[in-house]
Amino acid sequence: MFLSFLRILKFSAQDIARNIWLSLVTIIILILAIFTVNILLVVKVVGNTAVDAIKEKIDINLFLKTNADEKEIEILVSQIKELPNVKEVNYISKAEALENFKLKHQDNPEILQSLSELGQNPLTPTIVIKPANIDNFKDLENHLNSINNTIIESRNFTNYQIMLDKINQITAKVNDAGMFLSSIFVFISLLVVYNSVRVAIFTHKMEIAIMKLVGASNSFIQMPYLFSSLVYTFFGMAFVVIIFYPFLSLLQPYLEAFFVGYKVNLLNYFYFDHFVTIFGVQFLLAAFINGVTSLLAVRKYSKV
Amino acid sequence: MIQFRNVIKIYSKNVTALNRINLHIKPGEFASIVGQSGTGKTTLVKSMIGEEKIDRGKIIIGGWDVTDIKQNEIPILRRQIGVIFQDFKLLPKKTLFENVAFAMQVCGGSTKKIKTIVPHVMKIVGLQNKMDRYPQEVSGGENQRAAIARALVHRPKILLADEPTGNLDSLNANEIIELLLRINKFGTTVILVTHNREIVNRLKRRVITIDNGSIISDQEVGRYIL
Repeated sequence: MFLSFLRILKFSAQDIARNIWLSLVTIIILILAIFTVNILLVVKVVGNTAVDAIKEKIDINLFLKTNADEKEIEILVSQIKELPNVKEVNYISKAEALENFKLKHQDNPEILQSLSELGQNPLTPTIVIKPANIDNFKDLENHLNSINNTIIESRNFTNYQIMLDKINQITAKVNDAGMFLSSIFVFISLLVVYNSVRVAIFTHKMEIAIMKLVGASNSFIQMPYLFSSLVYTFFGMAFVVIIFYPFLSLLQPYLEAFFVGYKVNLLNYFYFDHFVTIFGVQFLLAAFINGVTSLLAVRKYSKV
Repeated sequence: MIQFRNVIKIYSKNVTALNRINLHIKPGEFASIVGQSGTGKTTLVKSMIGEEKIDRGKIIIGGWDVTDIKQNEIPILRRQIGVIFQDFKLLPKKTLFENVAFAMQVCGGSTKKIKTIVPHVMKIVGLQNKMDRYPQEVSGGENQRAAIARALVHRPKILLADEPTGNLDSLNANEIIELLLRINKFGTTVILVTHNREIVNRLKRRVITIDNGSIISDQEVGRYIL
């Protein structure tokens, strides 16, 4: 059994070596297919990060009157905390608001100069409310609108839902395009693997005929070609793992610049946190699909 | 040993390769199947090794009904029937030794067994001194001997020789026939498919004559009558 297995490996190696250019083309097409699938995954991760980043930023500001009594503010904060779908309520006093403002514009001397020329703190105290679930944002908005308190000067309800919907739409469209592109590459790679096995069988036509003549089992005749397709998949996957690292390294600074303040580390995501799940599953799936394709080709063309 | 019972093989409406063939070849027999080209001789050989499915009738080999043989049983059948052809079917990039060893390798034979059996059969066919030569470095007769050696490595009970002398000059052809007779003497049933009148007449063995897919003559000590 072990001896037969070793001989299958030997015949498979011969098959790859004798059709080396065809083997290389097969591997390159597989690389393109797997690479495209991973690009699609990157788009998905980036899209999810963008959506999470926006969700993180979504809050409702209640601007209070400058002369509002601290006691009244405390009562109002407690009242808001009792509302459904409220995750967090932060009260920012006039002084804190000024500090934050100065910190935010520390690099802009003109604004700071204008502020000092005013001679007083023009900012109002604010209550910042973060919703628990963005899908029920409208309900929370209604609840907050129903609070009739004289210390509330104004309410800021930016419609984040539109922005989220747009991002979701763009991500879905990119995913669709990626899926389409991936499907094309996967289909091409299937055809190429099928053709590689077919050509390999033709180049071994006489050997196969002799094997059959002398009583070699069908599995022994077919296994080397199945094994070759596994080798193609392995090398294709290995190259993707190697070339995807520098690709993500190049992409990473741009993502970090875009998502300032948010954790988006694709290298960690692909190579440390989900390495086995992403590349392992991709290898198994690709090996399975290529195996089935090879089996179909072998069954069809090894009848010498 | 080999029985054909009312075997019919039809390729198309106008081509009947085998027409009600009834045949019984006893163990250890040397039988020649003769006939002109396209009369069904090769179809007869192919149906014996499971390469061609018959349409009607029964083929029994060594008590085994191989009429509706399953795909996974064909290799087992072929290990019991050695086959040689006119074109030798040797791999040009392998030496004669490797060609013969190949038949054992692909059937799972151990390296030790290969090293014992292959030189032995090479000696039987008289190629013990040319084992390291490549097919293109030896004569046609020697290539056919190597093909016979390959057919013998599984110690088959039947040896089918389909036009084994077709590509050989008379000297080499005679040597091959002598070798087949010697193999037959060891107890192997030999079926020689040929249209070489001279060889058949000199053999003075059983001759089965086929014409248009039917057996028209079956003589114990026969001659080429067509």
